[in-house]
Amino acid sequence: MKILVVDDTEANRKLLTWILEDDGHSVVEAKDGRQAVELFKQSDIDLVLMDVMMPVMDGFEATQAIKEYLGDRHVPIIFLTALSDDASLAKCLSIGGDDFLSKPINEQVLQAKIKAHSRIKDLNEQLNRQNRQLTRLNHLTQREHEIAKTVFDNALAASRLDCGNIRQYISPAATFNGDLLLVSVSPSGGLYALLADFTGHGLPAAIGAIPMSQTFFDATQQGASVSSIARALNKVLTKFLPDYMFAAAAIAELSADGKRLSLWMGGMPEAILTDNQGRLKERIQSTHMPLGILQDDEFERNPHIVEVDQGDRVYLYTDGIPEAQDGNGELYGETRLIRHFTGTTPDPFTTLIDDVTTFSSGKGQIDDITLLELTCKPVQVSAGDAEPGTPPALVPWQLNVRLTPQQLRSGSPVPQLIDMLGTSPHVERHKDYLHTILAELFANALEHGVLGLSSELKRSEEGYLDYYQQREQRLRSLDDGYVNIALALSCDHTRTCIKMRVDDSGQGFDFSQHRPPGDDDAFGRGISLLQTLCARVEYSNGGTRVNVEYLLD
Amino acid sequence: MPVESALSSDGKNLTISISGRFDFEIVQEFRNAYAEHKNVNYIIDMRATEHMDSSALGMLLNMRKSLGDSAKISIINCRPQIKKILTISRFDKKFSLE
Repeated sequence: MKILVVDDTEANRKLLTWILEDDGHSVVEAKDGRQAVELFKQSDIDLVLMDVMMPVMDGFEATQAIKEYLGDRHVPIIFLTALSDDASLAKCLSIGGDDFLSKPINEQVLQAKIKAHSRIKDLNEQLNRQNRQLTRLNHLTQREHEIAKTVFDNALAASRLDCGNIRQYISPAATFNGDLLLVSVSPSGGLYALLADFTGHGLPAAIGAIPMSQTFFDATQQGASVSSIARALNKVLTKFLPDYMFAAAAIAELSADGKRLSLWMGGMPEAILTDNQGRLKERIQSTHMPLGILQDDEFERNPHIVEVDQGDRVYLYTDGIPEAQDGNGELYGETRLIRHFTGTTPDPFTTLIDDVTTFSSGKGQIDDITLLELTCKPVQVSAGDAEPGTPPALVPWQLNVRLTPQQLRSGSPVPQLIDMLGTSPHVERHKDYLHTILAELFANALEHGVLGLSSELKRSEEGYLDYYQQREQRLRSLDDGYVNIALALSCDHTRTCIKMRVDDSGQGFDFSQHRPPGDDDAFGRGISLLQTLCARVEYSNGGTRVNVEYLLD
Repeated sequence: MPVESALSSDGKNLTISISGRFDFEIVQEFRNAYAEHKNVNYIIDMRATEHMDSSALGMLLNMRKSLGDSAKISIINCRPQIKKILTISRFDKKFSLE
C-alpha cells in the first residue's frame, strides 16, 4: 500500500516510515495539512495517517479537503492524536476521518488498523465496481424492455378494435404488462376476447405474448370455438415456453346476436356475470389448468356455455385486483370485489377500479391489473380499416374443363375451380355462394347424370346412406362418361355476372316435372337452392345441360 | 377431424362441430355423432363450416327425423352465407337458428 504520513514533527514521520516500510508499504511524507492535500492529489495514495495539531493547515481541515476531493471514492484517513478528550476524538470522526490512534503509537495496533482499513477499502472498491456494473446492466435492461415493449405493442396492434360491447382497464405494474388482452371478430360476426396473465412480468410475458397473439388471431379468423382456441394456445405455449412459465387465461366468445356466451377459463379468478343493472347473476369458476402446462393429450377443453339475456354483462379480471394490498399488507379480496355487483351501483366497472386504486394507494401497485367488461348485446364493431377504393374494372374471361372418369374419381373439382375465379374484390366476396352453386351443379351432373342415381333413395335415413354407398360403387366402376364445366365472367354496361354451364353424359331428366320439395323431404333441395341464389337457372338438352347466371353487384 | 362432438360437463348439451365442408363426405361421421346420445340438447356448431350443399341439408333433416320433432336441435354460429342457405331452405321451421 502507498501510505501518506502527515506530521509536523520529523522524528514522528521517520518512526512511522520506518515501521511502515518494514511492513512492505511505500510511504509519502508531508509536514503539514496543505502539503498533505497537494501530495494526496499528486500521488495515488491508499491510506492516510494524519496528525491533528499542525502549522499552516491542521489535520481536520486537510481531512475535509481530501474527502471533498475524493467524492464517492474511499481512501481511509486515520488520525494520530495526543488529544484524549472525547470531544476531540468525536470530532476526528465527524469531519470525515475513519479512525484514530492515540499517541504514542503502538506498533501492533497501527498494523492491525492498517490491515482492517485496507480490507474496508477493498470492499469499497468492489462495491463501486459492482455498482458501475449494475448501472450498466440496468441501462441494458431498460433498453431491452423498450424493445420488448415495441414487439409486444406490435403483437397487440391487430387487437385495437373499436367495439361497443367492450370496456377495458389495463394498468401494468412493470414497464409493461404481464397481462395480455386481445379482442377479435369471428367470421360469423361474433366477438372473441382473450385475457391472459403470464407468470412473471415484462420481458418473459412479452416473449409469450408473441406466439399467443399470433395463434389467437389465426384461430379466431377461422372462427374456432373457445375450447379449440384454448387448445391451440396451450399447444403453442407448451412448445415455446420453458416449463416454469405459463399463462392463466380466460377466453370468451359472444355470438353475433349477443345471446350466447362461451367461456373457457384456466387458472383465472372467477368471472362475474351480472344483469343489465350490474346485479350478480352467476360467479363462473375456472375449471381448467393454466395454458402451457398440460400436454396436448391431457388437455381438457369443455367450455362453459351460458345463455345470456340482452344487456347482461360479464366481468373478467386478473388476480391483480383480488390480490391488491393496502398499506398494512391486507388483500383486497373477493368479498370487497363482489360488493360492487349488488346492483346498487349501475356501473361496477368504474366503481371497482376507483375502489381498488384507492385501496392500494398506500402500498403501491404490485401486480398488473386488468379488468374487462363485456356487454351481451348484438356485436357492434366499426371496422378499423377503411374499405379499399374502387376496384379495377374486370376483364371478361372463360374457362372450360372436361372431367373424365379418372378425374371424377379423384374428388370434387369445385374448390380448385373456385380458386381459379381469382381474387378480384368483385368476385372474392361472392366465392362462398359461387362455391355452393357450382358444388350443387356438379353433384347433380355426376350423381343423377353420369352415375344415374335416383333421389328416391334418399327418402329414408338408411336410404340416404345407401345412396352415398351406391355413389361410391358406381363411381369406382365407371368406365365411360364425362362432366363438362364452362365458367365465364361476362360484363357489360348494365351488369357483371358469372355464368356456369354444366353438361353431363347421363340420360337427362324431365325438368318440367320438377317441383319444390316439401319441408320434410331430405332431397330435391338443390334446384330450389340454385333458383334462389342465381338470377337464372335453365335446363336444356333433355336435362343434360344446365346454364346458370349469378350476378356480381 | 371434420366432425367433432363434445358433451358439456353437466351432460345436458351435445355440441357437434363441423369444420370445412359439410357435405356427403361426412355423412357417416355426422350420423354417428348424434346417434350415440339420446335426450340431450343438440347443438350444431357451424363456426368452422366453410361450405354446405344440399346433401348437408338432407343430413340435417334426417337427423330431425331420427331424433323426433320434440328433440331440441340448435344450429349456431353460422357464417352469413351458410345462414342464408339455411334460411332460404326454411330450416328455421325445423331447427332453432342462432
